[in-house]
Amino acid sequence: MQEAGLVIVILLLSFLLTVFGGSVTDRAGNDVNNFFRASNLLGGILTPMSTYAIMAMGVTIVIIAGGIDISIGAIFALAALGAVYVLQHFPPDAPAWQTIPTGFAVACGIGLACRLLNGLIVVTLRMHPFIVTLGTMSIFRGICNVSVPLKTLPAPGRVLPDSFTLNFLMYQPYPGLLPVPMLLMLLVIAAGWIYLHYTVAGRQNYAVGGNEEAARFSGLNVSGIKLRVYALSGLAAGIAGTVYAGYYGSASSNTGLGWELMVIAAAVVGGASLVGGRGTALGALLGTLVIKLIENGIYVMQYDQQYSTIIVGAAIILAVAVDRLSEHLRQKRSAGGRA
Amino acid sequence: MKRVWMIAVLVAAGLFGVAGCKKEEPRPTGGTTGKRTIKLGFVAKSQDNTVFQVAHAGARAAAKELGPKYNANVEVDIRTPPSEDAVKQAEAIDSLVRAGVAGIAVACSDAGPLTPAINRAVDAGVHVMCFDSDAPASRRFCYYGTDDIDCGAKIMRELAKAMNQQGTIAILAGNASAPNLQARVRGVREELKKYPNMKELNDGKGVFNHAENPSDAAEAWKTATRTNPSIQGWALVGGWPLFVKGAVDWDPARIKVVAVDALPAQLEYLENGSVHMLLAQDCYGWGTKSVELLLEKIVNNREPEGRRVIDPLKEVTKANAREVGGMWNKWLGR
Repeated sequence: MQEAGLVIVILLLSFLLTVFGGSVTDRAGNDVNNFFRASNLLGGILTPMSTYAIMAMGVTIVIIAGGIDISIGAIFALAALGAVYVLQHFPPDAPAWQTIPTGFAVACGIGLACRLLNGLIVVTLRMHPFIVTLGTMSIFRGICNVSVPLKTLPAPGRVLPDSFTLNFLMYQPYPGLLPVPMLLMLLVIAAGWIYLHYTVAGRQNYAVGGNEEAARFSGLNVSGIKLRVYALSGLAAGIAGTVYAGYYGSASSNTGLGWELMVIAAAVVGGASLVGGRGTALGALLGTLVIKLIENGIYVMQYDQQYSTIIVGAAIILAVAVDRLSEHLRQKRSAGGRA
Repeated sequence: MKRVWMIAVLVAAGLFGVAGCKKEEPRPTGGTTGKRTIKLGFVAKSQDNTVFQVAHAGARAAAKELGPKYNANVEVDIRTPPSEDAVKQAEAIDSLVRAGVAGIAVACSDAGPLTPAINRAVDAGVHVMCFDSDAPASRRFCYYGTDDIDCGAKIMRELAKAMNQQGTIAILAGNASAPNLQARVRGVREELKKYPNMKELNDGKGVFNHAENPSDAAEAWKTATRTNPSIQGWALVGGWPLFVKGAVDWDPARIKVVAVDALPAQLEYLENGSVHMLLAQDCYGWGTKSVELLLEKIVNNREPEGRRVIDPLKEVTKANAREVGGMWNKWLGR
């Protein structure tokens, strides 16, 4: 299992944080471990990482197929704004059967439309996805800005229905524990895993990302596969946007600003190769978890948060550098074997 | 496997390395015998803004000074994100609650994502107040800072005086989603209606937003001025472009400027005549007063009447610029 290493990294980090994170006195007056307690593991790591991991799943699928998506943060923002815009018109006590499907449908619809636009440009104009998504990132962020006069939603005097926020995505069975975003994240990762490993469509991603020309000569509809990949990534952005809208009860034109880098970083740390053909759903989850663990570690150890960007950045560079090195060594070994 | 081991080693080395570099706050020491320890959280908008660095200094100083008054060891855990990010602020509030603080003071970059986090903290028994930028729909017990509508109106009044109540004005307004800045813009516009010979650029479309960092602000300001030669007065509802040198490259006699805040860098513009007046907010007081309000609530269960404590703006002109500069040196420990 190629993710075994990441699991070891996570266990090692967790061990270090448990040992060196110290203890705190909780409100009941008990001394508890600062890192290794349910409220921190669930409320401080797994729940806040949900939106990132869902988007990382979408981006991983794109990267496996040899693409890249830097517009995901802007699409996520547009999806969240769309969901909040529609849901703020529901009465505060609107039933869940109306609000939850509406929230998902609106956000996923926006995500899907935006990503299909990206995909169509990439496929029909044969432009590099980096350039296309760079351009559309700016366009989508601009739409966020101009479509919301006050830059933040819900509008003054309006609120989102409780059935979508307090009783769903903000639902707290115990104080400080909000499990719904985390459960949705696990569902998305499970769906991604099944798609990538157990469906023909998923395996086609690897074929296109591994060698596009070979995939074309073997009869695969490369353009169609790329479009499907972008559509799935848009769907992931839409789901993440819904989670954000319900978890924070709002969205603004700045939502997700700069998150694309974090999401791509999570995918890469999780083992997705930027040259395509490699990556897994579990890797996307674990990559996000590694980054979130580092961020949480900064809180737990009471370091200045400014160090988190240095450590995360260094981990990303190292991940890619070691990836390239191991690939180079593997090729050298196989060349030696043939000789 | 080699790859992941290397990542693990790097991450571990990073964490240990940072441990050797710097810690923001000392760990709890247990305190003096007989005194209770009160832990407070402090979350400003960003670490890269001098006004919040001063607020941090104020909070630390107040914790030291007010401890004996409340017979407590007061500790302040500062969790301000490196740059403006409301989601990071919400995460910081959640983490402070988990760390067992008794009270939190927060300046909201965006009230939307912060309101649920503040309410969660209140549900967990933590007293939360806002300073500088409010989350009025949340269950925070009070707000300390500027009355933003009044601030906008005052900027406009001073600008009108400087422009002899005639001419075209524009508004530089920072982050468009910050509720305090939106309110200041409203204040400017309301006051402008009182001056029949004055108008907003482009028939009410004279607001320019920008990322809240000095270089972007200065660039946006210069570009707007260059491309709109009819501007005769600028209402700066935040002082960002004046935090860098060389932000004014036009004839100061032609365009009048009134701005919020009076940081050391801004005082130079006042002294060389590029800016007519600065309206200083009590940035140090954001720290000291917030700590005091939190302690009053935690120890004596007292909260301010009306739940809003308004800090009056201090007028800073050429005449008192040096005096204000001296205060900054004291606050920043220079």
